[in-house]
Parts: sequence; structure tokens; C-alpha cells
Amino acid sequence: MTTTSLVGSRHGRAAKAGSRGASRSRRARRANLAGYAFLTPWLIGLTVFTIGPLLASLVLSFTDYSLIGKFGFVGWSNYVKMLTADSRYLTSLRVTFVYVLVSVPLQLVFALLLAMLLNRPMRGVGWYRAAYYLPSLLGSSVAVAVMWRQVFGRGGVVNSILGAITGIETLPNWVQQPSTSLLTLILLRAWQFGAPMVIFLAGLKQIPREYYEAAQVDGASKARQFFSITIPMLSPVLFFNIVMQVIGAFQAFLPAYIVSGGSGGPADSTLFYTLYIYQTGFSYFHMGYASALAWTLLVMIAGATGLLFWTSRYWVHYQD
Amino acid sequence: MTKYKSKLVRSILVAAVALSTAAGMGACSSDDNKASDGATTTDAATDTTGTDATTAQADNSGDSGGEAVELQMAWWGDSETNNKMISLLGTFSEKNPGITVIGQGADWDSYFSKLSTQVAGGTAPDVQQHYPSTIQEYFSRGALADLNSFSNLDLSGIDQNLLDSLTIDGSLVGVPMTIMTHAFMYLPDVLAEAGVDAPAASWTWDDFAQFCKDVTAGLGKTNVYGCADGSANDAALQVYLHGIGKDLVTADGQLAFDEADFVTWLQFWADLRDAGAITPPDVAGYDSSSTETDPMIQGVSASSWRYSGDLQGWQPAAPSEIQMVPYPGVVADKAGWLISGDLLSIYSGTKYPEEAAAVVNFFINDTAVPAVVTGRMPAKEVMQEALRAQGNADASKMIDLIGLVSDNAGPVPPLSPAGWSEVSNLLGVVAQEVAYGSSTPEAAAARFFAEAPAMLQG
Repeated sequence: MTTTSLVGSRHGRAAKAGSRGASRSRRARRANLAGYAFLTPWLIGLTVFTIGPLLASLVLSFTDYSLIGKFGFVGWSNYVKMLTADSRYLTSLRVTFVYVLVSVPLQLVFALLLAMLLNRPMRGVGWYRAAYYLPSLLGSSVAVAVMWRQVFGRGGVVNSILGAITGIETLPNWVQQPSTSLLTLILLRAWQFGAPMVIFLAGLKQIPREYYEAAQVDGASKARQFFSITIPMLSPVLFFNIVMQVIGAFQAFLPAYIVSGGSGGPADSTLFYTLYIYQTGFSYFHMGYASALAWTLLVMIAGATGLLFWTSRYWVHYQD
Repeated sequence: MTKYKSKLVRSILVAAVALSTAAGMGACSSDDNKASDGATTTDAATDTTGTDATTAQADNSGDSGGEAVELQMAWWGDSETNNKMISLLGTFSEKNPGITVIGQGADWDSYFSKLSTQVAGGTAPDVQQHYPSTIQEYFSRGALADLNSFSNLDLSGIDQNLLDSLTIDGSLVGVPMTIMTHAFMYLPDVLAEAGVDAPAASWTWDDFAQFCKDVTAGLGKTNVYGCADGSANDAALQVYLHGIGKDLVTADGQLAFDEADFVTWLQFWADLRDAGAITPPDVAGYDSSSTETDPMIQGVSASSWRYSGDLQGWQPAAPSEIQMVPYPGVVADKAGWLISGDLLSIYSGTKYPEEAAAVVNFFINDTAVPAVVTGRMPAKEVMQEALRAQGNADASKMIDLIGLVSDNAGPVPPLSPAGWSEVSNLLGVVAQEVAYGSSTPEAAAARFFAEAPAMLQG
């Protein structure tokens, strides 16, 4: 057996540059094999835990699978039902789109503002950055969702503060009111601005100081500098953040599940799409229909992402 | 040196590939391919798929012979319940040598997602705890055994109406480990403060409406009301429907009341809401799943729509002593019935049916059970009295209420058909829409009757 170490293979190949092609390709194949072997653990994980279930759910979306027992194929009827005979599906769509369209801009504006504040040279800036990042470490946890329920509850912190300011005694329970319950969840998401903030911060540091100095010499105002230098220079980072947060917001599940006690209530006002999928599959045992819902969500997210990529041609500027 | 190293690296890599293949093949490896115990990873690397190691494992677990029987039993409950159940299983094993029962405790929220996944994967626990509202789903999908077929199960002394209600197409799908009944809970201290008499043990919906108004007015406080809004509560609706000779749903999945009945029901509550006699929706909410969200525990209502079995959990959280009466009836004296609480069922795919039945038998007959699980009301009177003898005040209240209701109780309504959980949720949603003012009783009832039948057809 010929022996060529993985590391040495390139030198070996160079040394034997004139040797027969067959031997070279065999060696290359062996090197590839080693590469795949290294990939194997990850590949197995991907196949067994991601691609397998993914394809299974695609197949299941055409069945009446009930989670328990046997199932039969029902053609497109799950998809037809979704579009024609399911009012709660439409409710969940409305709730999810409002959530995405309001929470993402709000969160990113917060993140950018704080990133700009924390980009200024000041004492203890590292400490502030850590402190402002903290909510996103906590924000996606169950504990915070439970806390949120208390904070916006009847006797919660929000009402205590509002009561002290306005003097009104009977403030509502914000979580239990269909008109405001979704808003509390939007605020919860906006509060988790840490991850995009850090990315913005990195982006801001990439912008050369000279641009601002030149603009200042030319007499440009701060606002003008922001819109003519910061935003265009930051646009690739902004684009990245928007795409990631839109996808994340579409997939949000936990806050609604915890805050509404799993019901999407009150009166379906926080029935996120993902929550509806969960209810359909695990509470009502319509796993086939839930799979169809999940695939529709995938198509919607892909559509939204595609749309963002298309618009990016007009507003994202890459420096090369 | 390089030579040695590269060989080592390569054999490790190939071994890794072989191992992973083995893991994949393990599931379909056959038993007669006996293991050669010398199989090491490097050997496997040479050419085989490496089924040997996995076969050896499968062989061990499959071989049960005359050895000790090991069963799985699943239940829901908090950590205290968990500890009690585990200690009871210890008692069971002492009395039944050779049978070991492994407990799988879970909290209520995750219990059924876990169980349905286990059933789907064919690894469900041999003895399972079930709930009347969902047991039909499991039985109709073939997951539960017929308990009539076990001769070692002693069911004498359990209310026949209850057993009938748990029989589907001649199969007994579960036996009640505990029973309960509808309980209108109230706080006597708060009624005293309002200067209102406690509700009578038999009362009507009109009495109830007057009671709510009196308590709310008597208290004269902001945000404290006589009664909790029960419009979205399907148990309360069912008691009302029984009073007019109807029901929520038939066993074969047809709605057993009509749109006009539902409008009447929603309007009844809308009137009370307009009169300010019951908790407004944004004050109390509609999440009745836990003590902390219960309007009476929150202190915004003097009473609450519960079941008798909740008393043990509700009393410690309540601001003062809780008393219970049956739900109101259309005719006084004719309200409520006995309800199976926690059911025990046997998995249809169990390898040890007789032993599983012995476990079920232990939990419904052995007086060691009520001595440990004091918060739950056993189905048999003998067992109830064993519980009362321990001098537990809550237990006595529960036994008395059950006695009161069972004297007048008629047939128990059939088990909820498959698809009911979705309908029940819809019922709550449309009732909430009325309460929040985004719909009218007529529109809500129309939506319910337009969408519910399709859900029941699955």
C-alpha cells in the first residue's frame, strides 16, 4: 500500500507531477474520502435529524397522519383546506404578519440606535455593551416569557408605573386584552435587540472615520451624515440583520406559547402561525395537516427572503 | 513516523465510517447474525458493515425469558405527585415480587405530547394515565387495550354509570383511578363581607345570576366580582345543556345542541357582563389551566368554575377557606354528574398484559393508595372512606359533594369523540370574542356551527 499522509499529499503530488494520472486520481479520491470521513458525524446528524424529518413531513403533508396509528394519502386536500375552509389559519396568518412587520423594524431601529450610542468613545463602554446585550441572552427563555406575563399583568410593573404617572386606578391586564396582547409580544421581541446590535456595532466600526471628517469639513449636518454615509455604508449589515430577523420572527413560537398558556389567546389574538402548527399537530392530532402548514410556512419564509434579496439590488451597497 | 501516523489516522477514519454505517444498519440487523465478541472497530473497518456490535445489544434487550418483568407506567403531576407515585410503585413491587414498574412522571403540559410521540414510535408505557376528554383519541387510533379482557381486574364497587361511559363499542378503555364532579367553588369569607348567603346545594341558573349581582353589589369594590365568567367554559355549558335535555356532542361526533341554544347561553353571560356582575374578560382572562390564573385565586372573583378534584390544589393558594356546591341547574337538584378523573389504561402493544392489569388493580383497590395520594378522590366508596378516616378536611368536602351529586346524577355523558379538543377550543375562542366585544352571540354561534362539524369529522 502506498502511504501518503493527509498533510503531505500536496507536496507528494507536486514531487510526482510527472507520474501517471491514474495514481494521482486515486490519491485524490482517497484524500476526498478522508474529507468525507471527517464530515460523517455532521452528515449523519444532518441526514437523520434534519433532511430525513424534512422529507418525511413533506410526504406527511399529503396524508391524514394523526400521530397515533396508520395514515392514508389524501392528495392536495390539506392544502386546499388551508386556503378554503380554515378561519383560524387566516387568523394565524394575520397575527404572524403583523408581528413580523412591526417587531422587526422596531427591533432593528432600537438596535441601530444603541449601536450608535455605544460606538462613541466613553468611559466603561465595554460594560454598557455587555449590559445592553444581556436581554437577548435572557429574552428567548421561558423564564422571561413568564416574567413578561407578570410585567404586563393587572398588578404588574407596567401598570404600577402608569398608575403612578396617570393616577388611573383600573388599568387593564395588557396580556389578557386582544387589542394589546400582541403588542406585548412585539415589545418582547424588540427588547431582544442585542444580537443585531452587536452586528451593527461591528459594521459601524468598519466605516472609515475620514468620510465623516470630510463631510464635516463640507458642512454636512449629523442627520445628513447619517443618511448619506452611515446608512449606505452599513447597508450590507442592515440587509443581513433584516433577513435574519424576518426569518426569526416568522418562526417565533415560545413567547406566544408561554404568555398565552399555549392557547394563542385571548380570543386567538396571539395565535402565531407556529403555535397553530403545534396545536394542530399535538393537540388536535392532525399531523398531516400540520405538516402541510409547516411547508407553507417554509414557502412563505423563502418568498419573503427572496423578496428581500430582490430589493437588495436597489439599496444595498457593497464596497469592493 | 509519518507512515505510522497516517495509517493510524486512516484506520480511525475508516472505523468512524464503519461505525456510523453500523448505527444505520443496526435497526434492520437480524437476530441470527450472532455477534463475535472480539469485534473491534478496526476489525469492522476491514469490510463488514459492523452489525455485530448492535446485534449483540438488541439480543440482550429482546431476551426476557423467565426473568423479572419490567413495566413502564406514565402519569402527570407535580414533583410531589411524582414522589408519591414512585413510592407507591415500590409498595406494589413489594406485594408483587418479580414485577418492577419504572415510573415516567411528566407535568400536564408535556404529558400528552410525550405520550403521543411514544405511541407513534411504538414505545408507549404499558400502563398510562389518561383523561376522559382525550382517551377516545387514543382508543380510536388503536393504542389502548380492552380492560374487560383482564380477569384479574376487580371493578366491583365502581359506579356503573361511570364504567358505561368509559365503554366504547363494548371495550372498556380505562378505569377511573379517581373520580370528581363539577364544583362551584366560593369563598365564604368574601360572601360574608358582601352580606350574601352561600348558594344552596341545589340552585338554578336564575339563582346564580341573582347571586352574582348581589355579591358584586354587596362588595362594592372595583375589580372584585361575585362570579367568574363561565361563558367559555364547556363544562358549565354541558351542565346547562343537560338541564334542557341536550348535550354538547354525541359519541359518534355530532353536535347535540343547536345554534339557538348556544345563542341563549352566550346572551345569558353577555347580560351578566353588561350588568357588571361577572369578571370582565380583561380582568380575569380565560386561562383556567392553573391555580395562578384562576379568577378566585387572583382575588377578582368570589367564586370559580372548577371540579371537586381541584380543591386540594386550590385551597393552599386561596386567600381563605373554600366551600363547594354543585353547578346550578335549569331545574334545581338536576345538575352535574360523576366524572372520571384520572383514568388508567393499558397500552395495546404491551408485552405483559397480565402484569400491567395487576398494576391497574393495585391503584384502584389497594388502601395504601389513598393513604399516600391524599389529594385525589378514589372511585370506590371503600377507598373514599379510608381517605375520610384520615381526618383530611378537604377530602371530606370532596366526598360530601360527590355523595350529593351522585344521589341525583343520571347517566354520565359519553366520552368526547375524536376531534372534540379542537371543537372545545373553538367554543372558547368564539365565546371570548363575544366577551371582548368583537362579536355578537348570534355571530359567534353561527361561526361555531359553521366550523365545528368539519372538525368533528376529522
